[in-house]
Amino acid sequence: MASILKVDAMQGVTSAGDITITGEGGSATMQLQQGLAKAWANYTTNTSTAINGSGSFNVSSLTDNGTGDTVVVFTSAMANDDFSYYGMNNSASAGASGSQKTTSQCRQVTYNSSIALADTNEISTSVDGDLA
Amino acid sequence: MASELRVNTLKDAAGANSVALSTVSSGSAKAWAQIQQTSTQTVHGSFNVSGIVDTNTSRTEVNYTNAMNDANYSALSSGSKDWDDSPAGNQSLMVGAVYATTGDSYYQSTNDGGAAQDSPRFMVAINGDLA
Repeated sequence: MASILKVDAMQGVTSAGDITITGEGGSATMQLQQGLAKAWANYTTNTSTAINGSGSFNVSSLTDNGTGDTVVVFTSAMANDDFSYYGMNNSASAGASGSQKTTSQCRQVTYNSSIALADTNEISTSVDGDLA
Repeated sequence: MASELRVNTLKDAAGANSVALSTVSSGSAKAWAQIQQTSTQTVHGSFNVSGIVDTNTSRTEVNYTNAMNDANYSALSSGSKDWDDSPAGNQSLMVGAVYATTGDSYYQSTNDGGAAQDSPRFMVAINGDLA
């Protein structure tokens, strides 16, 4: 029988930050919190640096560091700076930089096909790791 | 006391923002890691990663704690060439997934000249079905 759970918040019983879910194959289990993206954004650096429409989660602002160089600032901070983040853009490639990477932000750089820093209108960033 | 809840759908208390548990499960990353290839290859942060193997210059095998259901999953990666420096210069370093099995995936870093080069940090995310 289908069922619906209506809640505003979920916590683990043994540990508030640990809820286990069963994988699609029905055998392996994983921690729900660890698998959830902690932040993501779709943004542009053309003309001005800005989120495209409503395309972000847990991102409070973007800092324009220069051509092809953006700092993504989180609303809720990460627990440490050992988180992973990934980027893609519609120009050529996106890279990560550890400088200015803290629990509150990460730095994304974008390149054109000549491997030069370049602004573009469609950059995607996703963050995995532990929230504080 | 540990407890188990079996439901098909989650909603907020107002009955909005509905999400199926299958979406939560399928939409969650099944593994992620921040990895250093330079010097001794090191995992700096991870989830569902049991360890890495330094297979050669700029090559890393990432092993999972819990295996995937099949090899048809998505592996994303981003890398840096000078992790602690300002990216004003050329920071281009491509990190590609070479192969994937249910138990591991394998990555190769190359610079813009196509030559193998260790990355001071690269990051991977695995999306797909757990076993």
